[in-house]
This record gives sequence, C-alpha cells and structure tokens, in this order.
Amino acid sequence: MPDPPTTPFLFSPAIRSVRSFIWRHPEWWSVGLSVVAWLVLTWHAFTAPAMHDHGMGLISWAGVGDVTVMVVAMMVPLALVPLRLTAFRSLWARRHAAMAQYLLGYVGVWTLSVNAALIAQMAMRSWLRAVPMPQGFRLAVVCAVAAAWQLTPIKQRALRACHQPLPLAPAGWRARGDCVRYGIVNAAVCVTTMWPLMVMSWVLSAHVATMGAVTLVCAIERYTRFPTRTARKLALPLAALAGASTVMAVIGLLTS
Amino acid sequence: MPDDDSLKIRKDVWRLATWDPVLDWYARAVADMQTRPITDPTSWRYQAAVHDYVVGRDPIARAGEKLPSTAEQQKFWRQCQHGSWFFLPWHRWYLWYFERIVAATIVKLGGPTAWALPYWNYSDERNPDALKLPPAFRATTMPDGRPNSLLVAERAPACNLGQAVGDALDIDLRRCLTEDMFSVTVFGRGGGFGGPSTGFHHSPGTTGSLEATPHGSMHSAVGGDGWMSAFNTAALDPIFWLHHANIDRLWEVWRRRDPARHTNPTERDWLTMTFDFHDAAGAVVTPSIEQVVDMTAAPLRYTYEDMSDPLAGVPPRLRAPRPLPMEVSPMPEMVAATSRPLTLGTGTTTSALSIQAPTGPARLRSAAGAARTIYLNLENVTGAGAVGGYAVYLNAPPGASASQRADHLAGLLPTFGLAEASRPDNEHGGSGLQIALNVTDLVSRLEAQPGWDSNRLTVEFVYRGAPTDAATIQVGRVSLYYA
Repeated sequence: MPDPPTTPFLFSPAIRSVRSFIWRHPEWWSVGLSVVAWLVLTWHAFTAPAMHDHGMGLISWAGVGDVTVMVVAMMVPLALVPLRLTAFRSLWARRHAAMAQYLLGYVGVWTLSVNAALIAQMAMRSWLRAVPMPQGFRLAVVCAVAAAWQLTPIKQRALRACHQPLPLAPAGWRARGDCVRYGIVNAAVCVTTMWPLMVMSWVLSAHVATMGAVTLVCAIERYTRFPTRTARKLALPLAALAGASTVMAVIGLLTS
Repeated sequence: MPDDDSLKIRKDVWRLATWDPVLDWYARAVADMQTRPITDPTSWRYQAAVHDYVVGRDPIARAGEKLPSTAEQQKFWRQCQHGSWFFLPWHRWYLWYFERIVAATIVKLGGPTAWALPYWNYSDERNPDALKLPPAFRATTMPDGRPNSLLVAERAPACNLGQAVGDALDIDLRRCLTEDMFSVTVFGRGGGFGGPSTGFHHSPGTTGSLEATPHGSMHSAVGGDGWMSAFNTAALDPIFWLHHANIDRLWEVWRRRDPARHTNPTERDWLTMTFDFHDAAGAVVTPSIEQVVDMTAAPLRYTYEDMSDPLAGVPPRLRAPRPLPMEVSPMPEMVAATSRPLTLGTGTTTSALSIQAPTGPARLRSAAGAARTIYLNLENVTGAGAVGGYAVYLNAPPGASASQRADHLAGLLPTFGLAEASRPDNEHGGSGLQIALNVTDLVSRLEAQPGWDSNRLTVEFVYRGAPTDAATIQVGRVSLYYA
C-alpha cells in the first residue's frame, strides 16, 4: 500500500478519529437535531405557556410546529438503531438523504398521531367537564392503563419489532419510498408501544421534564438486554403511581 | 463427584471402536439422564431446554407433567447464543457442564472417572467414512441388548442408514478457517469467524462464518425434518454434543492456525459476560467468558486429540483489510442491491445486481491502492422448511453442469435457525437471518473474464434438498458490499 499523502493535518490521528466516528455514526446529525429540539422545548417551558394549552391552536401551523418539535426531541433518540440501519443499507452517496426520508415518515406519523390524540382530547373536554373527576383520579386511571398496557402481548410484539430492519431498494424513487415507508412502519410500532405513556405525560403535566422522563423510560425499554422483560417490570412503578395518585385524590376529596 | 484436575482428552469418535467404553458409558449415562424429570437440572430434557424450549412443541412432553417455574425457565432455559460473538464461548461452557453431568452419571453407574466427550470430525479427509453418522449412533441396541439411547429416529433418512450425511459443501472449512478476525460488527462484512459483537443474543441474525458452515449446514444435514434442525429439539439428539465438540475444536484449530492474528476478543464486554448454568450436582453456577478462553487451564482442563490444521500449506486467503490512513478501521460500503424481495422454493431462483461505482470509503481505498474485499449479503432471510439449504452462485452460465457451476459458487445459505429467526415473537421481531459471503476471489475472477458486465451480476439460488421438501423462503434483499 502506498505511503499516505504528505498532508499531516488531514491524516492526523484526531482527524482520522473524527472522520471514522462520522462514518460509523451517520445518525450524528439526527442526534443534534434532537438536542436542538430539546433546547427549544426548554426555552418554551420558561417563556411560553404549557404545550397542552396549544390544544386550541392545534389546527394552526404553529400548533403543528410545536408538536413536531416535541416529536423530534422525544422520539428521534428512540429511532437511532433503525436510522443507522437505513444509512448502512443505502448507497454511500444517498445515506444521509435515506435517513432524512426515514425521518420524514417517522416524524410524520408521530406528529399526526399526537395531533389526532390532542384533537380527541379537545373533543372530550366538554364530556370530561360533565363528569367531574379530580386530577388525581384522572392520573390514576391513565397510569393504571399504562401499567396494564406494558403487560399486553400487543406491546411486547411491537417492542420486538422496534428495531426490525426492512429491505430498502438501492436507488431511485423506490429507494426513497422504501425509506419513508420504513419510517412509517417504525413509527406505527413505536406509537403502539408508547401511546399510554404519552397520554400519561399530558395528564401529569406537559412540562419538558415530564417529556424527558418519558423519553428516558422508553429508551431504557428499548436499549436494555431484555426489552420485553424490562417493559413488564416497568408495569410495577406505573401501577404504584396509579395507586399513589388514587390515595392522593381520595385524601384531597376528604380534606376539601 | 470429586474434582479431577487431570487434563481430559476429547477423542475423535471415528477413531474409537463402535462400542468403545467412551461410547458405551455415554449411552448408559444418556439413558439414565432420560429417566430424570424435566424439573431436574441434570436431566436430559432440562439440558436440552437450556439450548431452547418451545411450550407446545416438545416432542417428548408428557401430559400433565410439571415444568420448572417461569422464573427458573427465564433464567436457565432458552439461553443458546447465536448470531453473536458469544456463540462459541457460551457453547463451550454449555458442553463443559453437560460433560461433567454425564461424567458424574457414569461414576454413579459404576463407570470410570474422567470421562470426556468425544467429537465428530466430519471434515476429516483422511477418513472416507467421516461424513457418516458413527455406528454407535445408529445401532438399534447396545452390546448388552438394551435399546440404544444414542439412536434417534428423528433424523435425515441417510443418517441411520449409514450413508453420507450432507456433502463437501456442508463441511467445507476453508471459508471459516481463513477468516482473519474473530468478530466483525460493521454492517455488510458478516460476523467474522466467531460472530458480531452483541449483547445477550438468543435469536439468530448475522452469523459468524463458523456458525454458518459447518455448524448450521451440518445441523440441517443431520436433522432433515427432525430434531437437529430446530433450536428447541437439537440437543435432544445425542449427536448434538459431539457435533458441538467439533465446533469447539475448530475454534482452537483456528486460533492455532495463526496465533498472531487469530486472536480472541479482548473487550471487557466479551470477557466479563456471564451466563447461568447448573453443575453436575445441580447447583447454580455463573461463569464468565474470561474463564473459558484457555480450555487447558483450570477450571476446564481439557484438550482435543487432534487439532492439526486441515488447511496446512494453504495460506490465509484474505487478510482483514487494513485501514486507510484516514480510517481507524475499514468501513464497508454498499455498491449494489436488489429492489424487491426474492421468493425461493425447491428449484432455482435468479436475480441480478447492478454494481454502482463506490463514492465513499471504498473509493478512497481504491485510490490509495488498498486491497478490496467483497461481500455478498443475503438480508432478512425468513420462512420455513427448506432444510436442504441453498447454494448461491454468481454469473453461473445458464444450463451449466454441476462441475461448470462449481467455479461460480459464492457460498451456502444454510437454513438452521431460519424458523427461529422468522418468529415475530423473537427478540428481533422476526427479522430473519443475515448471511454474508466473502466473494472477493470469485468476483475478481469474473471481472477478468470476457463478457463481464458490472451492470448485470446474476445471483442464483439452487436448492440442495429434495424437490418434494416443503420450502417457503423469502430473501428480503441481496446486496454487495466493498470493504
């Protein structure tokens, strides 16, 4: 093999390491995108009203934009494995485009799902007002549903499918379509695993700290040695939260 | 059983007399272990379930029998490591504890101490009968007239008829023994000799080359539609343990072939990984891989009768590619892939790849004059049946005879583990097998031939079993990587 060219800086160990890292971690810019989204959410938390109050603006572009930022912050870290698979299974010249197309499908489905859920929540508000229920009981119900969902076969199967690769065509519109489809399929599976936790976070509070906690819990589920067993174990603290919320709600009722 | 510190020698089963005491006592111990309940960790069925167990698909389940608790099953059953750098060390521990259980049983039955598990060297070119199942495993009775516990009906028909099991492709050692690296984890270059770096990995995925052939191909060749062809029943067949002893031996053969390059991983993640087993007394043990890298050292203290290099005189075909100056280690780059999944049956299926000029690391490597390695990847292989597996050819002339086609062989697609890898309830959601075939030499030869067209590299899958076999296989994608 010929001697390397005499441009020491470009081939210095530091540059080699950086280039090697970028080659081996093509998902680096999506992590950066998520970090920026978290910064925006944090800034919103201190300067703007809580996210769920944007329910009235959901049919506005601003509302959709807020939801998209939330999805990018919370959900992109959970999609790093399929993002990497998308890059490594694409032609080199289009690997970043392939990841972007994946994210189009992934973030798109999540954004639509969250918006649909918030619209449904808006529609139910008048019904909920007619059935008075202390916040504590509401939280207890969603926590109990979340705990039960952790144990269902549907959740278990969806969790296993989270990192499942799909074949991708190499080039052309078929390649673009396959990457978007991969993102859509992955997002559908993700929504299936996480929807009760997302609802729980809204009922608890739409604060950025709550969102961070939900992302952390879901990341632990996905990246541990036995994801399905971890999911089952997580039912316990959720059930405990349901119990504690019930107790607090009862105490609140008795003392009011 | 008191600990015996002497170095045990695992012998070649074909160098033993049909009912050598090693085999006679093995058969007696197997029969005794088969009488123990499945809740006994030293029972035959418990040991088989450590590999894998599927409720409702246990061929010798008894109505109303009690299984170990769910917690115990989660901890000790369904533990076999496949598609992982833990494949070899986990099976080494698995065999060793099994050997100790058998040895303790033999002592209990009045037999000798220090019994060692034999191995089946089906690749031994000096033995014309090497590919046949050893006679002790197909005799109907033992020397004392009792039914032979080593005989299992659930095998490929050729096995118990004393005919050759599989063929030269199933036992070919050239591909695995010429791998330079124990573990490769980047996508597109396969798993190396021993398998890719993973966490706990029970379901198959990307395999190391030894796990593919001869391990996987011989599982299917012996099993046919029977026990050795499925994870959850393989260890019920007494030949399973001799087959894996040979695989374990080949690990050592590989290391000795080139001690400077053929080294085990040194990462802490590999060395400190622990697994749960039971020892000969049924007590729980949790050994680490660190203790298993030297089989002659305590606590293992065993060796093999013959660890000579079957490829002696044949240099390693390919060295692991050296990194470019700007690389820390070589990065594979995809240059071609199919656009649609392929459906395989029991005939021949052909597809084509159009090779794109590389634009990333492979281009830089080419510009720097670095050697190129080429891998044909068979991705997301799912389905059932097809126990014969497939031979994969590149640019085979249409209508070519078997000998003409041999020059175009890319490798095998073995189907051991296919059903397990395709199950939607497995760890990876049923994403199937991933096979990587090193086709560097082959593609280089094809490029040098007249009529080479990089826009049309044909890939042909030829089924190797009987036309009447059931086979529903889908290959999600075929791709080509330069590394």
